[in-house]
Amino acid sequence: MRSLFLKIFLSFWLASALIVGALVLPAIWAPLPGQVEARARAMAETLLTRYGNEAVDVLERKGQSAADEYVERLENAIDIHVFVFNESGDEVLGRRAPVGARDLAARSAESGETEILHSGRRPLAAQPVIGSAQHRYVVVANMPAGPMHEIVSDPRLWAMPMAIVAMVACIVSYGLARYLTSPVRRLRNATRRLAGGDFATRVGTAVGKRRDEIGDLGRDFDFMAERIELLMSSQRQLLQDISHELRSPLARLNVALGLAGQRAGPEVVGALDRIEREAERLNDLIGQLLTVTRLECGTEGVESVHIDLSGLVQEIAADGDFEASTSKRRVHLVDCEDCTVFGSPQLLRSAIENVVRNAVRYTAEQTEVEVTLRCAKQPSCGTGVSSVRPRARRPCHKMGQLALVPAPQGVSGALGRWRDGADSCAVIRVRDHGPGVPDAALTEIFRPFYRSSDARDRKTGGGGLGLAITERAVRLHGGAVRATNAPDGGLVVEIRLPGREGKSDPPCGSGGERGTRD
Amino acid sequence: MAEMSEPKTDCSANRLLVIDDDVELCELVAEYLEPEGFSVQAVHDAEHGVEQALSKGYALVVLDVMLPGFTGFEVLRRIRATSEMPVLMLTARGDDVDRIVGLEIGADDYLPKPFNPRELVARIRAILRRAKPARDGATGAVASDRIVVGDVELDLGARTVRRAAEPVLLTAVEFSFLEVLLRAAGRVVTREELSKIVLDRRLSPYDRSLDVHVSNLRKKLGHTVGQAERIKTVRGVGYIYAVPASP
Repeated sequence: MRSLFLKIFLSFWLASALIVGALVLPAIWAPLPGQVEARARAMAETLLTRYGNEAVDVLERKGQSAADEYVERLENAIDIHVFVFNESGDEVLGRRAPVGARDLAARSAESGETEILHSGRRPLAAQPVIGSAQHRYVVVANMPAGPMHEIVSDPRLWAMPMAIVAMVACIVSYGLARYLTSPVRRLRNATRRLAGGDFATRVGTAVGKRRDEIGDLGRDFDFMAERIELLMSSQRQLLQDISHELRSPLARLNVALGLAGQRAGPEVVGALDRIEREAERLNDLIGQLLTVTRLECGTEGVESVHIDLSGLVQEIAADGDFEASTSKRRVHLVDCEDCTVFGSPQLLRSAIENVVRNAVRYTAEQTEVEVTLRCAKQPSCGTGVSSVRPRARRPCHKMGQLALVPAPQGVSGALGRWRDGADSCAVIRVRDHGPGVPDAALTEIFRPFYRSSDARDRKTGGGGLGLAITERAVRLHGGAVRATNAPDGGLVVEIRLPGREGKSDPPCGSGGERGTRD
Repeated sequence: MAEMSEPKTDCSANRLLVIDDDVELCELVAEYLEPEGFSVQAVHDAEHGVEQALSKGYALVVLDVMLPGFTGFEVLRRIRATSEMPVLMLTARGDDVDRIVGLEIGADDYLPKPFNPRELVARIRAILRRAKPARDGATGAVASDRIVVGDVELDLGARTVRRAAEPVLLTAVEFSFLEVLLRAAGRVVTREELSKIVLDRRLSPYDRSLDVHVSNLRKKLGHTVGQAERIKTVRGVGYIYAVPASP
């Protein structure tokens, strides 16, 4: 608004100044066109003839002071300054003549005609006058300035109009600017909402009913939004259908497998178990594939709430420990500071869990996987750009209790750049005592289906998508994930998320946001 | 049909209704469940599903969430409108929302598809055990135990619950859950215990159905007793039913 208003305002002024300049300046400086010149001359002649003769007459009959008085009265009456020169070129009224008057007088005496000099503001006119005793005089009059000159030199004359023009300019510029920027702003808001995931956004008649180019833009925007909405929903539908279609045969397969198991002899049981395991793996893979696809396409429609990260990490560590204990491994939560992040509990849970489960899978027997959560004040964290979409007031679902949670302060716009509200960095560190990962592959492990060439991989099982999901989910929240090798062996995976110190606002938080899983 | 291990006068005790639009799957499930001692009736659309379920001939309903026409949730709602009969939901794997919503509407338990049929049997049996009225071991007569804590009264024989003398409708699992909490009123019951006793399975680390059942109980019984929270969550451990302050 500001910049467009200024542009219009200044343009207006520039245009006005040019127009006025174009009109006024020539009037001041350019020589008068012929006709005007002739009229001026005629007028000068008339004036000089009349008043010049009178002045000379008074001078000759009554003397210099009387003449001076007369001339002064003339001045006051019609604003013409009169000077009289005698034959030798001296001013006989005792007045100081303006520059060039003497020469003009000489010229006039010579030519015997009225001479006019347009120098400066006030033109000079000279005319020879013959006195009573055949004395020759030249009367020079300092004519009033042209109308333009008058106006320009007297501030009182143009101050008021200028002020009025300025005010008009302001009002008109403002009106025009508003007229142009308000639909643009509406379009801008709608664009941001659309980009943030609200595919039902339209600008509608607010902009669309205009008949100009902006109206066209508005209608085009709505059309585009409609298409995008359609694309998104059909994609979502497709993913759902894929999930269903792929899993139906799997469901039947499992039950058939159960039937086979009911009737099978012991010699077949081993093979059946193997089939069951593979079917399970297939199913896990489908699930993960769908998650990754959803994250990539952004059709996840990440609704977001405050999450008590410390609570979440505690749960995951506890669950991981429970699972790990069945294979002689443990998960130990070394340190857990209070930290709040903003996002999707299900996604973050998945992300962190995948890392922990991975660690449990690779850590050596009888060792511990160490989990730490620290929250440190830091201006920037991860990528800092989160795509999670905050809602102004979002019902916070704590197992049946509904509470409204305001969006974090400083969240700007539908793109959810949470930089302003997040002043800290939550760092989740998962360290295992496994073989680690070759340095060259430290970034590769987050790619879908990455497998190191280590033969133990096949035994430890697990699809290759867990870390890929982690990477994408964390990125979606404006964070970053990184893997390094610990100096004394083992892999360290670090997840950084923009957040805030302390627990999230009651009553939601304290683990209430946890999603559920299988 | 396989021999029943217990003499039953009431055959409907083992009659199951399966509502799923996957015809082949229903056949397979029926085939699997029969040697386990169940007789299965399969129905493939929602309308008939509701109709059959409410005809009161069944001990338990296995209900698929993704049905053509109105969804499985709608069927569940309609069943729950008039009956607290046991319902086991079959959900899409990985879809958290389905799970929570289903349990909130009042399903007793859920099982994500694809499932291990052994798991299916286990969960069905667990729910049915909860739904049976308690019987005195010696006489076989229906036990008439009552548990009273504060404003809540549990009748184990009739399997009814009253709060401040008003009857409260609970599902089989919810009833069982409340029973465990009340018996241990004032003491924390761990999630492991609850999972074992109520859901008849070992606590799986990622199983949140306990949370939903507690939530439902809170909704039905009221969140508070006087000033205190009725059922308090002890994070990381379990739940505790508040003992009312001195009478």
